[in-house]
Amino acid sequence: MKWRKIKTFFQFHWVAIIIIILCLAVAVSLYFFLNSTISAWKGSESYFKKATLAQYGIFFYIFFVLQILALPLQIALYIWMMRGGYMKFTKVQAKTTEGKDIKIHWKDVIGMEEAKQEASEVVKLVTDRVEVQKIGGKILRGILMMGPPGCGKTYLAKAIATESNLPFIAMSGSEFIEMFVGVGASRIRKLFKQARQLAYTEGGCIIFIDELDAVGAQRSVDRGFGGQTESNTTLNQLLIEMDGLKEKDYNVIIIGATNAPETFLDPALLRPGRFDRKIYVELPNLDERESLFEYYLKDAKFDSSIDNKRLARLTVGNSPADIANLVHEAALIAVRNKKAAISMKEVTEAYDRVEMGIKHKVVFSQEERAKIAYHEAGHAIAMYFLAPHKDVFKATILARGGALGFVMPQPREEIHVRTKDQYLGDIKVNLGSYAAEKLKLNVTTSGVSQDFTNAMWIAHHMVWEWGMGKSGLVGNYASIAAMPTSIGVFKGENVSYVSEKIKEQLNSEVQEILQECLKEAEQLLIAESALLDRFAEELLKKDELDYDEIEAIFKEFNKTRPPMPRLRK
Amino acid sequence: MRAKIGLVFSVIFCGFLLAGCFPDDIQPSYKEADIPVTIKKICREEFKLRVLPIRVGNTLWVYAPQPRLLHADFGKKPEKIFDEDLLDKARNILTSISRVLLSSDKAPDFFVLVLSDINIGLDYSLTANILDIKKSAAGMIPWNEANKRYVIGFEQSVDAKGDVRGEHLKVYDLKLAEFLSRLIVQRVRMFFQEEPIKKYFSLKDVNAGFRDKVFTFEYSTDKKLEPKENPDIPRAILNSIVYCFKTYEFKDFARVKIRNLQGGAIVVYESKDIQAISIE
Repeated sequence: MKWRKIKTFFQFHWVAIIIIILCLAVAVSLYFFLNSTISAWKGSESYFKKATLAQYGIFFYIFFVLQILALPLQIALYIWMMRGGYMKFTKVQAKTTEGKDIKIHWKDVIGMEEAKQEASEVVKLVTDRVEVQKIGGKILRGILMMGPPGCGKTYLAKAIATESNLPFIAMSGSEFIEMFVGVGASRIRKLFKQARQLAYTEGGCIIFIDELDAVGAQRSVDRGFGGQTESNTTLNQLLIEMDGLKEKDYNVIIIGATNAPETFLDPALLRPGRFDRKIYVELPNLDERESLFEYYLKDAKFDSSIDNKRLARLTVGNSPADIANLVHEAALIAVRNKKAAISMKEVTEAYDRVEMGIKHKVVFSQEERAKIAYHEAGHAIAMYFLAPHKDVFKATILARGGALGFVMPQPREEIHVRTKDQYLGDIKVNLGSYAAEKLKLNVTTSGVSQDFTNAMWIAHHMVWEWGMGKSGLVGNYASIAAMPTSIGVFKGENVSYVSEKIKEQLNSEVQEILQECLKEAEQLLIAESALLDRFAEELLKKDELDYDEIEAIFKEFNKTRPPMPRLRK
Repeated sequence: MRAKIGLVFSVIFCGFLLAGCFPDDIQPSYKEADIPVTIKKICREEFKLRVLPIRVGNTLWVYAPQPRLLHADFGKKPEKIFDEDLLDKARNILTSISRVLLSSDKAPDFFVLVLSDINIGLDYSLTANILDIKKSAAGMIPWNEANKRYVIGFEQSVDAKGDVRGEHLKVYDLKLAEFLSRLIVQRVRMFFQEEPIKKYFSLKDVNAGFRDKVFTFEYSTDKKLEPKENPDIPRAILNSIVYCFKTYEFKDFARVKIRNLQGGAIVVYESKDIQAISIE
């Protein structure tokens, strides 16, 4: 290995070595030359010395003054050259890190158990490469990590580098893209050259390309400005380099990470032999979120009110990065509130801030506050009774983001496929505000705009796309409602393949669903009128009600949540 | 860090600028008293030439006895005048003299190099002003002009025969007035060697000298052919006089007389008239 290192060193630094030798030779000869010159000067006649000084002195002075004048330009040029000069465009900005220096181990990888399992398998394949080859197994070339942002793809790649103890070169896909055609391809070549050199000396190398979609998007025809050509050329070079590895047999593994859908990437990139393995790094499930809270809170001070299980339920759909940010934000709030430890209150406040934005200092009149309170109380009561798949985690009449108030729902458990009843429940929750305003204030407000949008969106999709209408019509009518045609006078235009009669029927079904849901919400609120008043009153008093306070109000009226509807077996 | 670099840079820059303000610390290589000895030494050690320098007042005489001055074909072939080695020897001696005089603490005003053929008795002399040597060395005058400022003498001298010690030389302290008289004569002679005047006229007699602060220049010419257009010879002579006087900043004269020995009128110029004439 040592000999290889020396050989490689000479192979890659021969120019520098020659320059150093030449410089030394020049320095030695300069010494002798100066020695002779000084002796000659000493032995020269005074007139010669004066004449020489007169001539060269003036020459040197002019040269020096000119240099001073040109100095800013020279310095700028020097800095430019030192920063890469014209080579900068093709220079690879990536820094190599030793795997052992990254120090992210499996134990640090939380909230992505499946991905972690896959990754550990990858590490085994990388480290036991020779054994795999012996039995004729396929050597792993590329790993593509996909999933939503913030789920820890980069983190997982670092863990792979640490555990496999190989040099790690991290780059972003966008670093390959430049305004000049061919620069990206050149950078790819240099990156792989660097990686092969490291693989040769260190036994392997991992290239991590984050945001792979920047360089791996599907190729297409350039429209004449060269941008697409540059993108295509860069991708082509990447494909070639990934293929080329096979023949040369360097242990270079490419890990790509993207949150773009698979279809966005060029198919050539995804074929076996390039990105052989795909690791889906999904959002964490309930247990994983609980582990994440445990992990991030272990270094923070928190009191007994913190319930990781509840927090895990609160943060459905949140990524590990979101959870880390939540804890960080909660710690900041605790410091601001001069608290010694983080409590549940800080975490929920942090959650509101992250999810809904900072509280606005809007001063509402009492009448407006009452409107908002009944509006939110309508949502909360409808959610409690008519959408049992959701928890009412919070209700507030303090303005945040674009909302004047809100009720925060959270799914009681992970929901991946929704049922008709759940959708209907969601519609009722959205219309609850309207029903409450009508019932208690005898007026309705524009505050229902977003609620109606949500309700209508759900109802429309139920009927037009998911076959959940009452008429029994099935099929995705939305998909054919506006389709481009290649026939006749309408060639190239969008044509609807749904008849006006069907459209009318579908739309009337949408309205029917909405009316029925509204009716149900109204009936509920009439029946629970006292509860509605109490809830609104409590909101007006406290501005914000958290989970426990909400539960307490319902308990006050001896109300319990209906059970989660289960599918019939 | 930037401030420090700027400070260092400024100090170096100011050092360079102030360097010219310090007194000259280059000491002259030769003392005035050592000039003859040094010339002799350089000629002997570097050029294997034997010379005898003699200092008289502000004039340095350098005697260089030679076995032969004239070329073997002198008189047979018009282009062969001096012995082939003589010019090299003369140049080397002049180089030695120039080097020593230029690098000495106080140089004489004039030097006269006399090369004598000690076999046939012939003296060849070159007289120069040290200022011309300095200007020439500094490149302030072109080399052909520098050559013109050497006053060249060439005369038979019976006493030179066998004189290896320069005993026949009548050394004296040359003054600027005499130097200028000889230089003006030489320049006028050269004028008559130039085309087209050479074709029509030749200088027959010429004489120049100072007496009682009056510079008198006498001349006569022979006409070879009738020129199409008569040249203004007195004017050319006057130009040479003005040029020489002004070049050497000579002002110690009252008037200048130019006289044509062939019965022409004497043209007299007062000192102020000479000063008013510009050098062409």
